[in-house]
Amino acid sequence: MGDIMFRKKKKNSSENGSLCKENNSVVKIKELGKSLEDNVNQLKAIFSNDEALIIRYFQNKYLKTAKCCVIYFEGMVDEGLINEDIIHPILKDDLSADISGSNLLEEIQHKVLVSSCVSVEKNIDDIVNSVISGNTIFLLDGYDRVLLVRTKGWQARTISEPESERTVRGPKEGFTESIMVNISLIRRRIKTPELKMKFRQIGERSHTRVCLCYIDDIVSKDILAELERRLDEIKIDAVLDSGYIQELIRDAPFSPFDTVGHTERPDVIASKLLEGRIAIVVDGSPFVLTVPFVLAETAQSAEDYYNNYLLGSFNRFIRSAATIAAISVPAIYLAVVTYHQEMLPTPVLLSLSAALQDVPFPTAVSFFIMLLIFDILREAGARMPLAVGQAVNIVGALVLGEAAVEANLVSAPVVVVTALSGILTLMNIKLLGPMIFLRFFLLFDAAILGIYGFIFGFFLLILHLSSIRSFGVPYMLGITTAKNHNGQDVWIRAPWWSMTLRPKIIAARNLVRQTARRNRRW
Amino acid sequence: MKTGKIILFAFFISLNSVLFSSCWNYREIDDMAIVSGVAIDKGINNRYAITPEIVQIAGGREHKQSSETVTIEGKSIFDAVRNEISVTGKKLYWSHTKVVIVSQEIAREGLNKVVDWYARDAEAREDVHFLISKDESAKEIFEGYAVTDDVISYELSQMLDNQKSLSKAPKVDLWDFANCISGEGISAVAPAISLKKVDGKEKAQIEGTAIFKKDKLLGFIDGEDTQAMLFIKNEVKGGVIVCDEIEKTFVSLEIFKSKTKIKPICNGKGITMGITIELDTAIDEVGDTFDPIEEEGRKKLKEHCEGMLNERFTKFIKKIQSEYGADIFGFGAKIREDNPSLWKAISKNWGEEFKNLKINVSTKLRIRNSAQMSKILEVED
Repeated sequence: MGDIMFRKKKKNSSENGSLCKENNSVVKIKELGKSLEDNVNQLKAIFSNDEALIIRYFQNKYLKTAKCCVIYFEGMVDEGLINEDIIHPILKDDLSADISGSNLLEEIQHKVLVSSCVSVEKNIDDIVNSVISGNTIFLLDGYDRVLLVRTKGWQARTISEPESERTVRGPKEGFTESIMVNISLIRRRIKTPELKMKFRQIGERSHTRVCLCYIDDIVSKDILAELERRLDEIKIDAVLDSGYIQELIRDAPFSPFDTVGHTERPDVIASKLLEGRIAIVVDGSPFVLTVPFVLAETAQSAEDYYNNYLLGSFNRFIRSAATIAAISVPAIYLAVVTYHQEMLPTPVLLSLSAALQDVPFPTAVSFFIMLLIFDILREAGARMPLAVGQAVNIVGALVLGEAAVEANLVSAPVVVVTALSGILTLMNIKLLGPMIFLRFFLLFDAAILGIYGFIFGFFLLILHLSSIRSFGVPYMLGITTAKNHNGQDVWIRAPWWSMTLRPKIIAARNLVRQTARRNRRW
Repeated sequence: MKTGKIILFAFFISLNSVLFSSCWNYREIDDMAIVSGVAIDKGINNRYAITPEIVQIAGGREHKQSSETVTIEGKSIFDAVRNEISVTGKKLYWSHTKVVIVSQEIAREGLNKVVDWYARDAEAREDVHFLISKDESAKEIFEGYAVTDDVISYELSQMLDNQKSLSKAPKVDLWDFANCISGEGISAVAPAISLKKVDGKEKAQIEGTAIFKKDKLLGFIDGEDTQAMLFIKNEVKGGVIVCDEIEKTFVSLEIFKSKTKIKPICNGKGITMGITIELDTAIDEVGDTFDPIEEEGRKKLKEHCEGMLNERFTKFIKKIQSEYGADIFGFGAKIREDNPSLWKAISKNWGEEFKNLKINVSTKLRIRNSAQMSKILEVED
């Protein structure tokens, strides 16, 4: 199934790609000439109708041959840099005194321009790409080469607390939309030459910069090669968020479970890199991807590792248990109430019976309705502006919950169970998507077959999870064991002094995290 | 192709789960008539009259429970149960039934049919309490007045559950009763229930024991005798022993622990049942000036009480042997356990053998303390 889908996608994208190239070849002239005027006109033709393009001619007053021009895009550059580093030295200084050699362009590159990154470029495609991404082209009359000066500068969001993964304890920095800031956040945490950054561009129109980040002596070479192969296969027109790439490279494309992880926290990325995983930083997205990704990671929170291991383990455990409970509670309640009344203690049966009197809908139907309403409220609340969000809460809690029970449209236990299940879902927000589907799936099973159906559905779920792999790593890694180092960071968070090894399959090349001390007493 | 196979495979597995999931069905709680207890009587023309007590629940904020009884007749018990639908509309729900009350008339005829129906039915539970009505009919028990619970059956069930600190009626579950009916060397018993006037109102009271031979009722014994029976059967968990006629007054002892050992001794003359009862008690009530706490008084109390209990137990066993001839203590089963070859020889004629059993009761009383007071209350002017 997967193969077929993949082939289709490839076909589409390659068609798009060839179209693009045809268009380009009509407009572009490949070679630059010697005349400044001609070259500028060529570039003008490429960027015709784009009024953000700024072209500025200037000339050194001592050296008449130094007729220059800078071309850049307004808003993409730091204009102060252009003034100070390019235009000012050429206009004010006596170039004829400094310049001695015959190659004026090279002399200017080496002796005049005050910029840390200047390169010579001949290929017109590269020149165009460079100016689009915020560099400045420096053209000199009489040369078929140009200088590219790094003058990128634009407004970006400052580093702020990650909204999606808040912690009480631990670093408060979160990734931003700027790839370079994000990379600096990672490198600041792992200062070793073994930390490698590999750049590439994805998106035939967006030319989005993507950085693969890994620690060379821990990472599995096979996983790295497979990841690069999958990234090479991507032929999409634009990548606007890391979510695009996440879905394009994932295993098990039809599963509701994510097989590629994402996080907004640089400390989390650092810890994952140290466990042998690979991070994928995508320009324009504050969410950095990690592969391979296993189910156990969804229940892990950065704070688990910073707090006392007992508290960390307790929090981890209730989070994991809540994940199972969130999908099971409505189904089990429904099964017991509509199929297995004999399982209830008599007082519970009587009070449930009282609550269900005069409720017109069958329990199963009212459950589907209430769970749907809960998801509607959740989605409405998430998209609303903050001020309106309050109203959603009030409407949800009061009108739909209280009033529906009051009016005998649904029974109170159904509302209670729905609310409980809803809260439990929010305990593990990374599994929100799968949990919503599974809750309905198991509820449906329970509605047609009782507790038997629930168990049947749960088995299917476990079979499905066992069949998934993320970049060759079993998705259930560590979940079925508490013994070795694969399991000590799953249901609980073992104390740091006992976590001497990294996860086995992912970091097989370099397992030792710390050498264990025999005696832990000081 | 491969996908098609997988889908087909999954389909067949799912189909199995639908086909082989036996006879459950989706059923809403509020569509059920929850039966809290049932009374079984004899109707006209040898028919059965079933009177279930159905819990009535009013929904809404302050839900209230009450109960309603309906009497329906049928050719058999199950027939009567199903005939209920034509009267109430809802199907009776038996899983939460707590008590089954059977009238004397049916009990004398034989309880096998009742037990069989109840144990065979898929919905009904075998841990239901079993009661025999001393009154004319069983259903009039439900006409009594309930004090602590709105539903009489639940009150009855609670009475039986709390018998452990009274020991005046045995607590017999249906499975237990069924085992006794079919068991070798043991006869069944069941608690007796009757309506008594309490404060001018008719109120159901559980006291005493109905004694069976096979599945037929022989008669009833009172609460006092029931306690003796429970002592011998090693089923006493608590209760009170009133040691009276000691120095013209009485002392109440609270039972903490009771342990009974039965040892059949077989010599040439016949079989003697050696019954040893070890009692752990405390003084809980002192009648008058007699001081049972001091060493001398305590010794006297112990001896008096042991003698009294020995006499009481022996008398009681003799009474059962002569009047009923039903081995309600399970002496036969005990012999079978201890001496299978002897049991083989006598089991055919156990009814007679039981009547001729020799009994040797010895009670060992231990007085642990005198509760919260270490002295008797002095009465002075």
